[in-house]
Amino acid sequence: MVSLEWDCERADGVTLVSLYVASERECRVRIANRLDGPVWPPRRRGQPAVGWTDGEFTGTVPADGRLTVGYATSAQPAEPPAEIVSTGPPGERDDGASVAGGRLADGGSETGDSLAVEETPAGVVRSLGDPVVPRDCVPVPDERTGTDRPAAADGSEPAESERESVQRDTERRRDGSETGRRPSRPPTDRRDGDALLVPGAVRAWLRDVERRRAAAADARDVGTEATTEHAADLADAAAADRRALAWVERRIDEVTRRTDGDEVTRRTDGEGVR
Amino acid sequence: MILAVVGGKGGVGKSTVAYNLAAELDAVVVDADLSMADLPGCALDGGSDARRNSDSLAGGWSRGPDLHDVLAGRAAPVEAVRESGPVDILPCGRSLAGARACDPTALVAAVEAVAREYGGVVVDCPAGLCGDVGLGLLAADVCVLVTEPTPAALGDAVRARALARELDAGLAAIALNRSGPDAPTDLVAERLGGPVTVVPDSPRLADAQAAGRPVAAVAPDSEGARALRRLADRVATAVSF
Repeated sequence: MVSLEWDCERADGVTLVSLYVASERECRVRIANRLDGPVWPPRRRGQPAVGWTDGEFTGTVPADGRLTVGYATSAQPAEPPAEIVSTGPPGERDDGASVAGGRLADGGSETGDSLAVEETPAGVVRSLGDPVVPRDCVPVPDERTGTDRPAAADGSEPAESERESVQRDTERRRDGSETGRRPSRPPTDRRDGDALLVPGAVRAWLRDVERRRAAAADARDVGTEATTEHAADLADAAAADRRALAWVERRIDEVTRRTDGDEVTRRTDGEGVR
Repeated sequence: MILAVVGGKGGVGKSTVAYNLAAELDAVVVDADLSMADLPGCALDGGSDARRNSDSLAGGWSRGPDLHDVLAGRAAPVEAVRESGPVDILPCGRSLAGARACDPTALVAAVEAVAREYGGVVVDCPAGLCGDVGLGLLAADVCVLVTEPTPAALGDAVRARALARELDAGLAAIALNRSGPDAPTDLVAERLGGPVTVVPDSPRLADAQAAGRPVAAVAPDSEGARALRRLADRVATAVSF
């Protein structure tokens, strides 16, 4: 025994027809519109949802005995809006695909053209893409993030060298602002707050230099036989660091002079530098 | 009750519809466009419209947590709702760095938390059909589709409709924006499968939005205000708001 209940709602020239099919067992039904107007079935990607052809719906009432179907039409509501024109055993669909329960009725999530989005936040992101802003869009992070510096949190980082601070201050002065938005600057660690203006690689190298210097000093102070060889290695490394620092210092001075020159030229041209 | 305002295409008037629907339905509007927030979220206490405008244009933003903070775990969703403006709003930050620091998937729980506290929520979804739109629809019980009578807008609306159906956000109403009396409402109703409310191209509506106020408060008898009232009534009859 298959029964049909309905509900019609008319608004702004459109009638929305809700149909509730009830059956004692799983079965296949064909339902036809009886209203005097066109049937506007639900659509997926512009095509009528699975089960809808020529204003008629064919689907399977699942084992729980309940199937809901809906469509819209421009016709006025009437009683009954639709009728079950035939019923039969569940089985093969017209196109040969097997019928798989009630989901088919509401448009066929089984079909290849459905979006098939898993209904969880993670599933949505998996199916539709992560809306995160690309990293390259954020060349200079928001200043507010500077408070949660990971380096400061564990206290293991040595203080930044004076040179680094000086360099940062120079950059700020040049920018005329604290944030200094310069799109051409390479992306740096977003979470690193006020150290942002120095590329991460430079900061990491300077930290390593500091560590080697401190380790070399410690090893020299201990001075046992066992550590002598190690101390010699550290001393060699520290000496190499000093040569590298001297080279970088010269290079920085040279670049700074050149960019300061550019700045002066631009200012005299009457163009503010941002 | 959570209502998502979607449309697919950008610039069809989603934010205007969302803001005014929230005003009509006495709901909180959530600006869920994480990277391009555009709701009048300044909601400055006091001050003239002119000041509000100039602050808005200058990027002036009243202090307090916003959706970026909520989605980054720095603020509770209800704390970030601002009640000082004409419409309760959960604004979104405007910095790309803030957007990048967010966990977008937290939007669903955040919106639900606001709905528990305030009752009604209107989620202003971004353009496109990326994950952020899907998350807004996932959180929503029903949706309103906003579109324009142009092929590009209608095509995108059809896709947004399909996504809404996939995520079980029933269609409460369709707003056919910037349309005249000869708008193809039958065609839109057929393609999208729902009743269509025409919203005319109304300068009063645009002015009100720019001033950060609902059109009903600025020009209650204007065509735009009447159309949005009809749309809100339509939504209210479709769902118990």
